Amino acid sequence: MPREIITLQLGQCGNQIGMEFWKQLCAEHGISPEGILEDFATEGLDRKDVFFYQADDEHYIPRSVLLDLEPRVINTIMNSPYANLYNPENVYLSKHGGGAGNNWASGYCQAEKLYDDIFDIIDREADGSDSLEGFVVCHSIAGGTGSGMGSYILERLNDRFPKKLIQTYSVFPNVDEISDVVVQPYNSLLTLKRLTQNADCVVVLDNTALNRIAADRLHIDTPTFAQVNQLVSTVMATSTTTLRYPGYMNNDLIGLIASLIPTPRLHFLMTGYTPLTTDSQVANVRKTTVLDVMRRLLQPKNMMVSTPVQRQGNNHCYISILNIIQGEVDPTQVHKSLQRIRERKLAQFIPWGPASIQVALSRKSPYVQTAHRVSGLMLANHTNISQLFDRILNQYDKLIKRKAFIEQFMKEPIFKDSLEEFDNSRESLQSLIDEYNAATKPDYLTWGIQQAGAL
Amino acid sequence: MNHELLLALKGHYGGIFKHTDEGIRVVPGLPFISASEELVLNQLCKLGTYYKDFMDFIQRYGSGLLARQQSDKDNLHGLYLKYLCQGLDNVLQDYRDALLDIEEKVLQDAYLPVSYISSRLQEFNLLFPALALTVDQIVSHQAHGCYILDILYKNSLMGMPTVKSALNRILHVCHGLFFQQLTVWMLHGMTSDPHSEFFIQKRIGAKDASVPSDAQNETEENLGIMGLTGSQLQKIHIDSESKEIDEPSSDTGRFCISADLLPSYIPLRVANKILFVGESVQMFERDKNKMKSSYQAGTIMSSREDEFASDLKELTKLPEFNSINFETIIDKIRTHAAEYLWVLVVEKAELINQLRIMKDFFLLGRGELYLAFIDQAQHLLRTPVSLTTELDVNRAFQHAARNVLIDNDALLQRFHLTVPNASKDKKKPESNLPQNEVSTGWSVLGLAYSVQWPLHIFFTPAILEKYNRIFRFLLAICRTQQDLQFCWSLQMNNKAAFVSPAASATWQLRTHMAFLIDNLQYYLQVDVIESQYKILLDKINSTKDFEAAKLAHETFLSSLLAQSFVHMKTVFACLLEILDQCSQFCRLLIASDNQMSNKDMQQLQSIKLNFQRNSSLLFKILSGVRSQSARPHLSQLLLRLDFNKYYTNTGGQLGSS
Repeated sequence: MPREIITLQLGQCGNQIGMEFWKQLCAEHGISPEGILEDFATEGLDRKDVFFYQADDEHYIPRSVLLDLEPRVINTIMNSPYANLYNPENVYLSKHGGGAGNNWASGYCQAEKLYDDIFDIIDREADGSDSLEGFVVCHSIAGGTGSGMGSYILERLNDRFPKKLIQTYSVFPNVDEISDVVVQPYNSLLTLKRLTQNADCVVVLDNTALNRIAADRLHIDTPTFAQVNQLVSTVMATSTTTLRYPGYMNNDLIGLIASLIPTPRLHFLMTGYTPLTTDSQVANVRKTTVLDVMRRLLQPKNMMVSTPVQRQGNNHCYISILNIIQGEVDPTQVHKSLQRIRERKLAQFIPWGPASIQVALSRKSPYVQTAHRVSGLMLANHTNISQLFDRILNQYDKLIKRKAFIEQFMKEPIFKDSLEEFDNSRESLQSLIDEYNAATKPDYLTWGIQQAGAL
Repeated sequence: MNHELLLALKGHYGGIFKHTDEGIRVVPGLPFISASEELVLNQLCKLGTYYKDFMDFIQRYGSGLLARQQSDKDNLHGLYLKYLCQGLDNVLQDYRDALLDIEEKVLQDAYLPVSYISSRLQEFNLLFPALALTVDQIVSHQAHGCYILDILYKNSLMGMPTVKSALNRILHVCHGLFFQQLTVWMLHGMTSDPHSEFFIQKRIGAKDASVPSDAQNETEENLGIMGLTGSQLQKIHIDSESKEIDEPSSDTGRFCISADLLPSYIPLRVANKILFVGESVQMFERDKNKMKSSYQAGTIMSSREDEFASDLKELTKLPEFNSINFETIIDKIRTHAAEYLWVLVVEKAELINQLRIMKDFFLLGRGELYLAFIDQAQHLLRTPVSLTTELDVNRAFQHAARNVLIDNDALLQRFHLTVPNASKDKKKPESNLPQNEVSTGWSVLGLAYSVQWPLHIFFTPAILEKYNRIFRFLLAICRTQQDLQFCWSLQMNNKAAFVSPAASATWQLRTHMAFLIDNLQYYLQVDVIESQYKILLDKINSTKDFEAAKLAHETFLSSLLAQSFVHMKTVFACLLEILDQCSQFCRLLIASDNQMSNKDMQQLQSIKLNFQRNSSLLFKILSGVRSQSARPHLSQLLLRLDFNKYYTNTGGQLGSS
């Protein structure tokens, strides 16, 4: 049972990072842009069938569905060398073609109208797999299509495939630059409600942090989309590495995320990656040890979320950590590294339950040459993520006070009668923030029971 | 008179010299012999007595049929005894020469005094008692084979040069035989030893080593009575295949060092080396037909056989046994054999690759395979074992393997899951899982692997059984983990609302269980298996010696067994209990489907209490102060379980909320 995973790429951003993700996967598995297995890759011990299937002519085809309401990005993909990789039936462009105008409500309502077309594709894809394990959704929460259509699809996936897992890679907007999308806070808020209630696991890709990393750590003054997306695809590919290069553990999606998420709503994961240097900077002074990798992963500067974990000062703490380390490391060092990290108190953990750093040693693709022999990805559940939500909530509050730009939303059916959906979503987000804050305290579990009583 | 004496000295008595209870003596009171002469003559006659005894001994044992004579009387027989007699006779030749010499002197000078004879034979007065003592020892100890060498050697350790050299001469003669046997054994792997005298002996009851596979064969043969179905045909097929390969593997343990035959001057370590060389050669001799053409033709020794043979021959020529030289040459031969085997096993047979396969399959390195297998076989193995279970399980295993795209059919064919039928095979006490009244398939599941030549010398049935014990434990953990993960997905179904206190406690219990199981598995896979595996590979790569590699592998396995607690009863029992509670919990949760009856709640409560008790017991064992230094792996697991000190803060108890 391959436990297949279907990837849904929604909107501009979703399709862009999706494309990068597939590029990376093809490179790692030795699959050419046309989907043909390269001669050097025929003997691999990797599992391509989780993310790909083979057509009659042995071509590898991604289990991927590309959806957008406007043609620009998808056209770029269709004019790239990877045009023939995808199943053309899985590429869906709205006939209307006008996009969602960065309006969540527009995206949501358009998706509603396109329900049959979209779920025809998804159903067909699901039927084509032996034992579908779940869906991975790539989207941004700020725009119109990824957020609005994404929200709608998340809700429907839940209804239609209640037993399947849903993981999302959600891009959070960059707060450092003035956005051309003024209604970003609205879109984000509305999407976050769905991410809280309909997704099982959300990997937060914070554009603010990604841009900062690109600028500070990679020394790129004005990072391009491609360079930032490169970071994203690295994170995405690495976080699926245990599914594709099977080892002793974490060989399916549930095995990967279940241990990270102890309570249902606290499922927003941060990522950290090392080494984050450009190739010119490669200077391997000494052998990279497990401890080096694990220590670097705990450093805020390597975190891809802009509310970095502070070592001291606040009570925020890790709920769980999974480190995926690729490359040649000495397994006998893992224990010592854990010991050292605990001695030095490099990571604060929750007081209300058992928690530890899990370390998975994984194989690396033999076909992709990297300058670094060892690399590591951290998937962490940290209470500090609430600050990111707090920021969105504050921006929203400012905007909604003035009822700014609200008329665009009221045009759409979902807001025609009332703005109740805004209030619901705000309440949902506020309660999520509260819960993350409560999770820093020893009485978190009784807090949950009190909430249940209060409702 | 002098001739009378000479005859008596040669053991022939007559009128003057009579044979009495005390040996040959002068007839007392003869008029022409004075009392003082009588004393001297009697003194001399002792030599005659000794000589006669020796000759009797030689007569009795040194000639005629080799087969056991007068078996009712004593057990002395064999080639070594014959060689001993020959050696003894050689030594006595000196005595006879001396007598001859005296006789000539007597013939020339009829008045030669007795004192001359006495002084001429003086040296034998020292020698003969010592020889007699040695012979006595041999007789009284019923010394057999190489044990004779030992007695000779021990007696030769003395200060009297004549005795020492005489015994060494005898020993030398016997060593002639010894080295012949040694050469044949070491260079050709054969024993030409009709009387079981060599210190390397065929093991009696050689089947001991292969008992597990035999037991399995029996159960399968029993099935044959029920009439031949397709499934049984297949089993027989597999069986015959595995037998073919099993046999030589049990052969490797066919020879052993027989401690009572091993001369004490050959240290056990040297003896072991000799055993190893012979066994290695033997394996090749026997399996010549199995050798692919790519392997070097001929025996291990073929390239240097002459060299070694002459080396050993040189040793025989040395008048005295030199244990340093001996060991040096044995070492040389052993090193050659060990390197040859190392090349064969590690390079030609790709041992490293094989070890990875063992890790992938027995130690669950291919997690995705077992994930798929557990899915497929869950319903088959949850029930008590039936006749067809084994077949179905194997089909499920093959199916799972194909699903995860292991397309190496040849490799898959070599794996075979065994599910001993409990009703027929009651004497299976080693099933590690808690025995319910009826054991389920999971608890008796085993994995059989037919090892390919020549790796069977590396993976003996005993070794495979060790792998199996870890395999069963790891699989049980893996299964529990999957169950707990499934329950997680039930928990995740409700994200919108806060849950009731009771449900919250249940989910918390699940989280704690999953935490414990996850970390146990990380500990086993990373801290134990991966770490030990790396140490093993480093060792194999750093040596060129087969035995060192084999030893490293054995160390690897025993470390695994120790550190995975399979050998630590208290911890192991505790972990099994915990696994059992987790499984019960999952079954209850899945069955109740959010609608808990009162009875369910009670059961849940008891599972919870049990889990708390066992986790607290585990904590106590793991954190026991005294065990910290002796068993560092206990604290390794504890570090993972207690990383954020939660375990400590709750008084070493998980599962409470």
